Amino acid sequence: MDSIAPRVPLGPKALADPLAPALANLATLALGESGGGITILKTRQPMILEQLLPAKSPTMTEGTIVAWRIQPGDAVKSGQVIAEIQTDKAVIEWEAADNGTVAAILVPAGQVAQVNSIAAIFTSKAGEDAAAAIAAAKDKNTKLNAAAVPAAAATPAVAPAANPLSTPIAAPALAPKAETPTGRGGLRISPLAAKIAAKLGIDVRQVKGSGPEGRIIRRDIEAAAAAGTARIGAGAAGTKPERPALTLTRPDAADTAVAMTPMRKAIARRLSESKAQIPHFYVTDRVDAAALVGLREQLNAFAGVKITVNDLIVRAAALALRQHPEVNATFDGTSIRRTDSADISVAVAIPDGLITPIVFKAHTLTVAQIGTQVRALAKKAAEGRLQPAEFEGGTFTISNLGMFGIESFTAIINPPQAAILAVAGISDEPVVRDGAIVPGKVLRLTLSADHRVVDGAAAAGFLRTLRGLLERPAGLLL
Amino acid sequence: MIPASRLAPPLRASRPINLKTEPINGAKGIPLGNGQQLLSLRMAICQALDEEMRRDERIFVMGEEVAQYNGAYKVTKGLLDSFGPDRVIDTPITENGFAGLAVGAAMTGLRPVIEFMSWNFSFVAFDQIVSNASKMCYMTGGMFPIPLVMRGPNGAGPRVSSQHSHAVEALYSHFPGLIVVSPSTPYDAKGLLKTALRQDNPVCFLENEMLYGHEQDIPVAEYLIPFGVGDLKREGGDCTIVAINRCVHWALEAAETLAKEGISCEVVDPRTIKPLDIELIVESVRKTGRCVVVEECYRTGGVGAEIAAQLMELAFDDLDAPVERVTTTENPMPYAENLEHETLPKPHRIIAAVKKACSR
Repeated sequence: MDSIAPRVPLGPKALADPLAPALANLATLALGESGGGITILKTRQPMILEQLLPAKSPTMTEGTIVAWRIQPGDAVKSGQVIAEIQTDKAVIEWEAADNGTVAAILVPAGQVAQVNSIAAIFTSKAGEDAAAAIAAAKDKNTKLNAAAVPAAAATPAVAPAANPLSTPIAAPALAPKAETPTGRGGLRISPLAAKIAAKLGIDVRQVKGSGPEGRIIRRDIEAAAAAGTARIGAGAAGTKPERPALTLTRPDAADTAVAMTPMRKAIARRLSESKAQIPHFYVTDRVDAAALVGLREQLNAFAGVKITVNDLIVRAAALALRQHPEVNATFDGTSIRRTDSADISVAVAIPDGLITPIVFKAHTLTVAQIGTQVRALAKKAAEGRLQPAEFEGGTFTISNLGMFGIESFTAIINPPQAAILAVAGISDEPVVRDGAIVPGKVLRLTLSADHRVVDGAAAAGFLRTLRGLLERPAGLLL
Repeated sequence: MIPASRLAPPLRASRPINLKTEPINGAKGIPLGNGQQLLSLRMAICQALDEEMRRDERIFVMGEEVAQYNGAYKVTKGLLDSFGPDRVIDTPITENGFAGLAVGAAMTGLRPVIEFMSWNFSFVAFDQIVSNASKMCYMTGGMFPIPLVMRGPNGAGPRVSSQHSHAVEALYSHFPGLIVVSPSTPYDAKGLLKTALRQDNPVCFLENEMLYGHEQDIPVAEYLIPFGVGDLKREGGDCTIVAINRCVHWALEAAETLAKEGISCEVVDPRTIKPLDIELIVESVRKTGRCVVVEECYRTGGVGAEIAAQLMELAFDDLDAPVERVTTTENPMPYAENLEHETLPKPHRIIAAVKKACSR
């Protein structure tokens, strides 16, 4: 025992020495340039300012730079517009958050890039070397955008064959839920049994399980194999096992593949979610529109006035919503919010798809004011210049296909709203007036409502009020 | 296939200690000729200590009553006479103190062996074991390895009630830096303890009071058993039973009964819980498709839970049934003998679990 000495020399010196240079460094950093008295750290490193492609709407995952307003070498001030970005909904101006000099533009105009891609690099001072940062940023962009491809390809979450009515509604969750209550496509089978079955070519759907709760286990597969039954293709009772028919679409030379624009993707995703997850129901009503048409003609007789049927319907809907707050509501999956103000989204068709700019507080506006606003918003939408505040946050949507002379149609609810009104065209039809059949003008309205929020009686009540307002339209001018 | 060389020598029936006929020195086995000797598990541990203390003078033994009283369970019988009071040291009843002392001694280059009269008493030394012994080498950048062996009986004795019946395999294998050894036979105990005494990490060496009297014919010639190498205690094709420490014997008893009913069980003894020979377990489960884990620890967070999780990760497609766990039921150990019997993972519970796994 005496011969055993500690293997490591101990003592304050031995321990302190290796740390000494680090401690000295620390001291220098803390003291800053002048060596004493100053407690603010100063940096001499050139500062690289990465400009990350921003998410300009809550649903934006990728975007396109429509145009850069800067070029390498430019001095940029915080707040200056540096580019225009096409989001999934609109073209939006991008303002710089930093002062600096443009060292490089990494996402060229016209190219789709994931949010948080490094679109440009600034340096804090002109002429600083940013080569390393640019190379690293290019690398990062490549990885970020490569990683996004499979994720995006896997996005269509709603199975096309699924009947929306049979899809269980998970109250708070908006994501679709897989429903295979017994696993492996309705079969209970142990992993080992499944493996052996695949190896032996046994059709497990024809095997009866002897394990707990009918689970197919190894011995069931081995028994089936020994008996020579349940071979795939053989059929247990002489019938072929059913296989889902596959329809293959072969591309034709005349076909055109159309790339999905960010807006098209957003429409596809949001409407699929809405139709699959919201229990829609539909109520249609027939409005005698003769008085409405007459009123419009009278109003348009004034010089400089241009009122459309749609303007009158927006006004009427706004007044009806005020009387039926249960329809003027939004639902976030857990709670319902009834809104005092009738903020009406008006569906506007644009070349890329459609968008729903909002006439806020429509119940406080005159028919003429509504008309002016709708046309201004439609013009901005067509130019792709709507700002998010102009199309996010409505409480009710009106979709009007009347200009196409459509007899009637149903619309898909625009979540989180609880209802949408589909407005068809006004047609000449016989109507019964004072007991006699006479030529009349008929307008069909269909309300799509979310049954989680609105019940049938409420929807019908709303439509009755709306019909009343449209059939005696003088009240719309009050 | 598992090579036949992995199979340990056959077990003999347990025999209560007879102080009159046992050798004066616990390290001296009863020679049987043909290179074999008869050793109880208690003597196997003593023989391993004796051989290694002769080989390496840095090794010393410390604990309550280990010297003059020859050990509370006579495991250190004769060591004081052989090595003197500098290397076989009686301590006061101070587990926290002598565990800390041992960590310090190991830091200076000694190789301490401390005996907990029972692993239940290690709880008062928990901080020394978990915060010091297992962390020192890491926290000093490798300057101070801790070649410390902590040993003593683990699990339920007969009717020692709730505070003195803990099995600590799962508890101590939770912490990185500790090796956990839990042997079931004299052969394994000797070979594993010799390995523990020749390596530089802290080792929890978990014995069992109820197995001290178990005897086995083992080689006179020196042998070592590496950590992380499990052992097949019985071969079979229908169900794998992974059993630890005393449960190995219950599993063998259950396997014997099940064999009469036509269910052939393979009994795997991992021998060390950390590192765990998961390869051997997976190899066996690939053969049988079913697994029952038997341990004296509690069910929640037990060794069985760990093995079941690893089998799910490594052998999912080879499982014909969910992994079954037979553990000590989750209640404080009752004093009453009949209740203790129902609390422990005894053969009747193992048989039921195997039948369930086999859907029989």
